[in-house]
Amino acid sequence: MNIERDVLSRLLKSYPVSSLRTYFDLTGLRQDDLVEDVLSSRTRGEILIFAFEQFGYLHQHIYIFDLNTTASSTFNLAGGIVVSDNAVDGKRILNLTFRTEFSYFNPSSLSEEELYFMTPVIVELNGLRAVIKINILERNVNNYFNHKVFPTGRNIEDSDIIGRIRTAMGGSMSFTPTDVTVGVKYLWENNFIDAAYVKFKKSRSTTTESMDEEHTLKDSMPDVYTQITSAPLDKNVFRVLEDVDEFINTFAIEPRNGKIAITRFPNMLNSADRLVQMIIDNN
Amino acid sequence: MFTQFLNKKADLLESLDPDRIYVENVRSFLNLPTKAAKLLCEMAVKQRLFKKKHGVYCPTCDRLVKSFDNLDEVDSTFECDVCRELEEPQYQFNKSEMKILTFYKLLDKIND
Repeated sequence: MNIERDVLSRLLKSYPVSSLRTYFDLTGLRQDDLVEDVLSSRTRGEILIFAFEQFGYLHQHIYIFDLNTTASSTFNLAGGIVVSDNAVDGKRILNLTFRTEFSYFNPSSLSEEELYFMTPVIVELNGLRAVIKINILERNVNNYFNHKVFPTGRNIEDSDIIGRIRTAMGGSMSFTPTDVTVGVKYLWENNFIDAAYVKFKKSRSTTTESMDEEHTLKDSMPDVYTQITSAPLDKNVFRVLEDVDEFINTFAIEPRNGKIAITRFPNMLNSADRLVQMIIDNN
Repeated sequence: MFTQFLNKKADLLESLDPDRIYVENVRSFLNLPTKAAKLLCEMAVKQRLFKKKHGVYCPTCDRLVKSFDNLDEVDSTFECDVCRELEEPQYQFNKSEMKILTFYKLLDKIND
């Protein structure tokens, strides 16, 4: 259940079928068949190269941080594996993997068991900015079983992964979440995005607007949008209105925490990166 | 006092969405018991003034996910995309878990 082949299989299954088929030049239709083909014909190293080259297609959490100083070359990672550490286009790109263990009670065996996952993580360092991209793992362990199991927890969360990365870069390094409110509001004002869900602060309350069906806030409630333009944003779900084919239909963002969640396969390999860059460039 | 009453009614009317008229909107506007307001809405459907709609609400966030003209058109499963984006533990539901609420749409005599 947790031998390397199983763990690699779970990793491959987190990618869209189209990515597997195109990258490995396969003709199968079913995900299981494609994954089996890859596992029987490719090495672990080749699969890891695929994992990072096609990372842009994954469901992912993206965290944007301001650093207090530029990162040194030191990177002593504990509790994770450094797959590669390269300079690309003036940025330092670290490709990492972490083992995430989901525990659950299995009624068939009447015991607590664990399912291991390999979580790919990319760290991009560019001057005083760090962008950390973490693959969102399947949250429902039941999807891996034909019978019901009862999840009891997982060994590491995103905060643990970020903590280990920070420690690996040296004790004096501080990571402060970048407040991207200005960048998000710019894209909203210019109709690149509109909100399906928004939670924002009023002077004495916190308000949530959750739009019915496919409606979006600025389009349907311009008066509320006007109120929001000067309010701190909490958690939001935006629909992309322009160039949707090149981006992502919807994404969630916590602007003050510099955190973006992409829970669907992006339409293109660089969709998530381009979205993040647009937010940062207009921030 | 009468002006105040009329202004309040005007505000209520102004805030009404003609595509989403709930029994409660009619009840509060006409100051009727709920049963009478419901009966009035059903009469308006028979008179082809209103169209009856059935809204499927997400049990997690209470958002109206999709609306249907007939109850038998309601899909057997549905997904709340906002709950999915917000990473709620449950965002896919089957028919038995759905909350369904009836509302009415004011018919445009020319277009509807």
